[in-house]
Amino acid sequence: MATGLQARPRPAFESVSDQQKAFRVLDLTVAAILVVLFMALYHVYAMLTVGDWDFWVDWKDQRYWILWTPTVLIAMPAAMQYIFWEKFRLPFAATFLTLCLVLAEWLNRVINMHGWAYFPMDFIWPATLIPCGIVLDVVLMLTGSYVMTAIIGAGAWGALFYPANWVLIARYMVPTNVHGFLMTIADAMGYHFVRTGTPEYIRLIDRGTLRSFSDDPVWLSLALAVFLSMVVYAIGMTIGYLFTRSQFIWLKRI
Amino acid sequence: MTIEISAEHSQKKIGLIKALALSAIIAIGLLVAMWPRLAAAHGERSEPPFLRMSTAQFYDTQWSAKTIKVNEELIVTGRFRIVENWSFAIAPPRLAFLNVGVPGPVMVREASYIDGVNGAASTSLEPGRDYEYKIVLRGRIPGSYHVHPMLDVLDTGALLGPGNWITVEGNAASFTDPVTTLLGNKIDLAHYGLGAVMTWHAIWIVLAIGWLLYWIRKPLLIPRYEAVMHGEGESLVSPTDRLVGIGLLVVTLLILGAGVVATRAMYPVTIALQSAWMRIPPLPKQPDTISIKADRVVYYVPGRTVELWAKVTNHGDKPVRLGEFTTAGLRFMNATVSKVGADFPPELVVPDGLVVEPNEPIQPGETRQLHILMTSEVWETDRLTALVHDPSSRMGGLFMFFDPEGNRSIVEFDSEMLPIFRRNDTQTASASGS
Repeated sequence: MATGLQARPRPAFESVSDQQKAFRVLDLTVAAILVVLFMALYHVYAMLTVGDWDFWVDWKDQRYWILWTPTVLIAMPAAMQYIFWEKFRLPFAATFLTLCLVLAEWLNRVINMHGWAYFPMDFIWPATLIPCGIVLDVVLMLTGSYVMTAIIGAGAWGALFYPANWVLIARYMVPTNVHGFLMTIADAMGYHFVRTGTPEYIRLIDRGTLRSFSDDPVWLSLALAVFLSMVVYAIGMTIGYLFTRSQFIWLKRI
Repeated sequence: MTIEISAEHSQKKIGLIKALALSAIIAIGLLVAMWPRLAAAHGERSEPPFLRMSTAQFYDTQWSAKTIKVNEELIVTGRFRIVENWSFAIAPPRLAFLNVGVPGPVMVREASYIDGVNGAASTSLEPGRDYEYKIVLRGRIPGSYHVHPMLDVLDTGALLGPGNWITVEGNAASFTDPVTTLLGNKIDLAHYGLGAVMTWHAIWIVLAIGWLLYWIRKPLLIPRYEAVMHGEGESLVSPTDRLVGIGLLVVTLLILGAGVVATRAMYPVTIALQSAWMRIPPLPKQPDTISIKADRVVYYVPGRTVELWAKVTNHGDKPVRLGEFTTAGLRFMNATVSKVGADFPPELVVPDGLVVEPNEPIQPGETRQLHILMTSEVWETDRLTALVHDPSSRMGGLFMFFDPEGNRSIVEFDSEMLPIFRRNDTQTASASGS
């Protein structure tokens, strides 16, 4: 073999500018992959855990919806927030995930539920968690403390979900008369737009002792959502912690 | 050397092209073979036979039209019997909802009634009793659809009545669903509030993208990771970053607060989602003027015939003849006694499918041994004979007797059924039923 073709060590980059360009390409490539990945992952997770509460306007009740949705959906942002912050000091994981979720949900609703199944879009729009995610990220950035983020940020996540979505849902809670029945507009939509697999009795709406305990279950549900969001945030963060430890490399492989 | 390499190279190339061509042919073949066909019906035949024969029996089902235009009404009416011998394998009908089996909201439900009572809420149903229903639909999406009355039963699932093909014609864009709120506002349920919903979503999406772009414009992964690993993580969040974060937090909270205040002002009267469980009394019970005691019921597989021997007693004061057996939406007719109207789906009717021996009227007070044959391929095509695989191989249905004036007596039937698999076999086993 000719001497000129012999392998010899070469610098990976000819210049700092080349290095920065390469890092940038890597950044954008990873970002693009993460967008697709988390649109899929977080959306599937939301469909499995929240499901009908997010599909239909007439499931968005003042008790279970505002309690269950923020509580279960904080787990994945918590885990990713830990990884993004601990390894990169990037305070946007929750915002990023909630944005991915809402984009994936709109895609699903427009293509699947509206385009294929003919449901009108005003009956199937998704809820938003973006303001909750923004607050969670900013609290972590400002405090730099997971404990404070769990208390203030996750608490705010649980508390803000309802007001953030009340501005969307309020117009559907206006009363109307359906052949002698008092119904909200959302109820009327659920009655008109036939769902063969979702009969009326399946909806879990304001039933149970919480209704008898208090005139308005919203405040109690919100209080519980705040508390449970803190707890689930801590669990999610712990999962993120486990995924960054070398002794749990087997977990990462899985 | 060069020539050899070139020949080897072109052979590899040809091989690759062949492999690609073969893959493409297989892919196209699979695509053509597995291309999904239009699913316009509901798979009622896939429901296990006990769900169709030992739960609710729909009868007298009528559809007001075969073709409607967008915005025009279709009315489905009829009755159903909640059978006394409700299958032990499923939950009893303590809570049920009158639904309609259509492929999604291609039609909207304007109203529904059970025994004249608004059927918008769920109700309990009483075994052994009949209910009358009415479902008012309106065309929305043009197409041809299989429309069934349907009962959704808690912990049991959907129980479908007979289906009929209904065509919706016209332009979907012309569909409207007007409703007047209790505050006097006229709205269209098909296009209500979506603009506001999308605006709010857009606001939050823009804010989120802004926050992400603020960080993405900086180096992200490797430089930051190295800095954090070298203990310089604190330097990665600058005072400007904190200021921007505080600003974003304030803007977010202000938007939320202003949104809630404005929404309260716009919609001062709102209520919680509504739901109720109702008590709807069944139709008055018919006098039990006829009783049936099955001696033996067999399904002769090679001949696709259900054959039964039963003692029928007429407790009434008029002679009666057996005119029809209906189960799972199928109707076996004794053509000498009863006929089906032309508007009933012909695929659900076996015009001469009920042979009764002897076919003479059963006189008042008389008990007669009847030999009944119901022969049709629908036992197989509707997959009712799959009950052999059910946890309880019982067949059920409604026998309909008619007096000379045409008055009808409905008798519920339920019995063990034994299959005969081979052509020359005979059955000696007895079945009990009534």
